[in-house]
Amino acid sequence: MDELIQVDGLSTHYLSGGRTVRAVDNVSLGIRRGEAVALVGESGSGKSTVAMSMMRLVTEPGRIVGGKVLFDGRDVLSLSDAELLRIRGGEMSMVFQEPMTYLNPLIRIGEQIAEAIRIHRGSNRALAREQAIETLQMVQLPNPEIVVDYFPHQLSGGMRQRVLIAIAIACRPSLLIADEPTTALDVTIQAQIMQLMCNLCSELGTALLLITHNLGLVAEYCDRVYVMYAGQIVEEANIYEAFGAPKHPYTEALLDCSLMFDRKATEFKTIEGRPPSRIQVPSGCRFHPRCSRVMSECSKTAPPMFRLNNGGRARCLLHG
Amino acid sequence: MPEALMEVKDLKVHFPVQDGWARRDGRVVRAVDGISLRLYAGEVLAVVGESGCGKTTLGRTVAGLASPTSGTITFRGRDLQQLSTADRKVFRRQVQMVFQDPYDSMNPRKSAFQMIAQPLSINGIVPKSKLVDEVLRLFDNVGLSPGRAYLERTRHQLSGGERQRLSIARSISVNPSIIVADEPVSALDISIQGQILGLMRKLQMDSGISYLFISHDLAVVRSLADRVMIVYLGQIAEEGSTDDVFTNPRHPYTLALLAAHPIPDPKLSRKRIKLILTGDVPSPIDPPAGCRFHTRCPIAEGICSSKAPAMKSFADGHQVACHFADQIESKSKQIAAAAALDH
Repeated sequence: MDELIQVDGLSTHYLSGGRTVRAVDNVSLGIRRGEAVALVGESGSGKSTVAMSMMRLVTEPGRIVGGKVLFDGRDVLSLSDAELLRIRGGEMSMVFQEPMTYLNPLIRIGEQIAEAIRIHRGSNRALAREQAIETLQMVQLPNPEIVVDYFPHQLSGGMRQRVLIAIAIACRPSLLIADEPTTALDVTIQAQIMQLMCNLCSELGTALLLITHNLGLVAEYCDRVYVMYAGQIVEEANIYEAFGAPKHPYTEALLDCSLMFDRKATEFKTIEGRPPSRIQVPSGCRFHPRCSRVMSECSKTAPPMFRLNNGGRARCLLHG
Repeated sequence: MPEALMEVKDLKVHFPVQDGWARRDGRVVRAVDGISLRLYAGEVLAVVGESGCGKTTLGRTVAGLASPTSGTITFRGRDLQQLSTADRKVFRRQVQMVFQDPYDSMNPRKSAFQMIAQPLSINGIVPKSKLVDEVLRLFDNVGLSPGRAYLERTRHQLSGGERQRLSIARSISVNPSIIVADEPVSALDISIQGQILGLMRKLQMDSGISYLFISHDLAVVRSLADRVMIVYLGQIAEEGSTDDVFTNPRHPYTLALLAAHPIPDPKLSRKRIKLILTGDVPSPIDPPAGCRFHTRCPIAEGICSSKAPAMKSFADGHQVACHFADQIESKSKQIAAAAALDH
């Protein structure tokens, strides 16, 4: 198995007012070269913190308190700052939800793309500009020679997201992490952006980690999925298994809540209760207070990830 | 057909362009540009469209929060523009709004009790001595239980789902006949969405409330609405019963919306035809001539850029504003063939 990135026992905590919020708790996941993997979960499940930790972008009061992130054989968490800078934005890069927050409003977009190219590919100014235009072409912005001199505010939301993707892929990364890349966009634009991003990844042989709450996007664009609940991975499976025969009750419940549009809903399924606070997590399995298949030992024993014969893993005592 | 509770005729809501030199040339944003609709008692009419299509402006206008530029809105047969002050007060009570993010529509200093008690006492719905009982009854009605535990909470002490329940409690406190719900579940996780949708369905069944349900989410609309209206750039593209529009769409924009909506089923979603629209939604300041959708339409022909399509009627009140609405089946084969070539 050719693992590109291997996250092993990652824990990231936020320390606020003397209390510890265990945002990410002992998370392990792996992504192979060129594959598209989803990390799915509801708000507050810790999925974005996993991404930020993998890029070592966690800032105070957050702190990575344990684990390893092996990227192409190097431990991202123990690299020197100089080595980290070489990888980040070059070999692994990131696309965020709200492009306006991540683009500098005062700098022309061509400059912002060229910056990454100059740093990571060592191009001079003139060449970097050429390469920036080329990259804008790759993300299918119309008239790239003109758009290259635009400021971010002159572009629509969808076009800004294309620029963010351009910056991310300008240096041909081997891993692209996309954190809710289309959540702020309309559905027809979402389809454009997802299609574009996935096509680029397969052209460039880039692996994709898609972080999302949208199960539809996972089903449509990914090969494998990790499901997160309350800071932990609870299920890992290829998508046909995950959607066809989910093995963790949480995955199953999430799918039950998803609305399909082939019929009017006769009843609305929900998951009772709400996700636990990460300061005081429930004993045993974290999902047990909301689980429809709860057993007496669920509140006592914290389940490990069990390996399943469908090739996936699930954190549930039903499989113990 | 029974008489409509609310009828909107050829509604236009235009806003002057506000900034810079543009102020002088008198340009306007045509947020709503000629929409007509009827809302019947006890039904859910969904308004679907992408951002900037005018669906929120439409909702605010029929709720009396924005003024029409032209056109008429009648409520129980009476023209909104001609209501006396007293009647207008009654109207405002009858038509309530629920917003996407109740956090923004709640006073941070007020307790949940105060938020519900205020409309009750202003409108003299219950005597002061019965206020607490009535608030608790409403809490119970929207599933905030045990109600006493919520009385003193302020907005930051509530979860997203609880806030939306509270804001629904506030809107039903004055016994409205219509609730305009603007993306009421878009900010919620899917495990919570169902709770709010189920609550809205229950209120519709129990007290016969009508909803004008504004949403961009086709799956949510499909699950709740009786009728649906697809809006593009301030105008209706297609309208009909939810079943008709979803199973037998006739406007290419509806087809594109359905094709772009991600389905949480890998077998289904990978089998269906990929119809991805090119380009962005044009500006409502200067909408395209002819059919407004022609710049992005996969089946547009010459006539589409010169002549605006008239509404064509099909069975069961299904209406479509497209020159090729009656040929959509053969046209969609054409689209499918083209999409297959792309891949």
